[in-house]
Amino acid sequence: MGSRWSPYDNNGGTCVAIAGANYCVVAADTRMSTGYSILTREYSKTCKLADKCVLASSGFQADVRALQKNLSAKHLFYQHQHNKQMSCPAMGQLLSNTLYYKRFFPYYAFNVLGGLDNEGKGCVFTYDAVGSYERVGYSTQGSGSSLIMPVLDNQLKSPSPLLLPAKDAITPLSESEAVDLVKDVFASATERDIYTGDKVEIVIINDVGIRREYIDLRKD
Amino acid sequence: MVTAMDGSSMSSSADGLVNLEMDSQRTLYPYVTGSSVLGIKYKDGILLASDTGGSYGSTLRFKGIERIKVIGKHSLLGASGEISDFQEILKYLDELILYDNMWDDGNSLGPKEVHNYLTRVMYNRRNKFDPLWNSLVLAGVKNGKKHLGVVTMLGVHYEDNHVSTGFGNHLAVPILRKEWREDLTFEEAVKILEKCLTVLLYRDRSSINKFQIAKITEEGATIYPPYSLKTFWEFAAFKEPSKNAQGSW
Repeated sequence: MGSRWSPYDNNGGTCVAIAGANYCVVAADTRMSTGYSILTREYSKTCKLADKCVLASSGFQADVRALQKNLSAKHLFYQHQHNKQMSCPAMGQLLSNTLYYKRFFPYYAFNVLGGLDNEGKGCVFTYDAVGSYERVGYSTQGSGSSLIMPVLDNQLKSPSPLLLPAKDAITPLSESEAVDLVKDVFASATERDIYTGDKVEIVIINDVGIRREYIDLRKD
Repeated sequence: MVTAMDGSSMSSSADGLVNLEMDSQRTLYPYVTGSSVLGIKYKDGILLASDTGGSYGSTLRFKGIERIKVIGKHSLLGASGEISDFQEILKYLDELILYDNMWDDGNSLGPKEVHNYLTRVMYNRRNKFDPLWNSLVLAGVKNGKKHLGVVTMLGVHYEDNHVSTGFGNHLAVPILRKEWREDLTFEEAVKILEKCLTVLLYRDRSSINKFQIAKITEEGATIYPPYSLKTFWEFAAFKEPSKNAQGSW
């Protein structure tokens, strides 16, 4: 009697990604929690899957790690077979297929994939736990997503999806403006979401390469 | 009766409830359990501490269980949760270390590798809905690099400068977070651990006053003999707890 054992747990956290004309910013906080306890304050939720492709995932950490390992292994296979790195859109499809493969015992992972597409433009893909995805100009997933998404909608002025032909949702913001926006939204989410805080890890992908920044957040 | 491919069965009863427990052979709840394990990095290596009790529900059945063991040349493993599952994990690790030694190539599995192996074992059991009901603390030093990590029964894993399992997460971690510094001496680290252990002794129902501290450094592992801590029960509030209380508490 009582509560049955559950194979899932929610270790919290928030992920954000913003696509620019020639860059992409992917960010996630570094707090790992369970219930009302913090397990550790310094835990990376991002994973570099390919040269120009970074995945940020929140949710159940054991599944997140297994998913990241799975994708990295598949990427290695791809490189051996095709003698080149996977492009971000290709990785996007692979992630969707990998998630749907476990449709009836899902990876409890909420993903945001960011990088540069084949033309060097920023691209962001947003997913649910079972693999449905779409390419967007910006997105957020995780415990603080409902706090952050409205702010991004307001600031990044996405064109109406009703327009035809479909207009590009890539933001006209510069790279440093986008990074500042990410810092602001995380600071805001930290105020009201108990599972977000400690530090935010910001990964910036552009034609030069990939670099990381760490910004302190409130620890309460 | 409907039997699924993985062997679990469902029977429909009058109120339509699924009864998966009926012929399930999987672990549903633990029987003999150990309470918290604490781990702390200090200047020369890592210290682990735990009590030596094994509870059978609310009975304190076993009082001399060693819940911290040496693994290979470079690591210590401490476990809380089901003791029989811990013993099985030790068997898995025995085999792992044996195969590692049989290569006889001068290489040996470091704490990071053992941690990774344990994570995979725990995660795979969780995937089969038959978990090893433990929270494991893996500590080790190899080539000057210290490693201190935790793996839970769901496969959740992380590393930090100080860790704790079970009740320790609520009672010991706040003390560790306040008092931990880089480059603690051995004596300072032991003092911090003893402070945490004392709090756990007062406030965790399943802990007992018999502890073991284990040390791992580049030179090797030492598990110290069990000892007890001083407790103080003469607080006025302890002596007549309900004197000024209205109702409960």
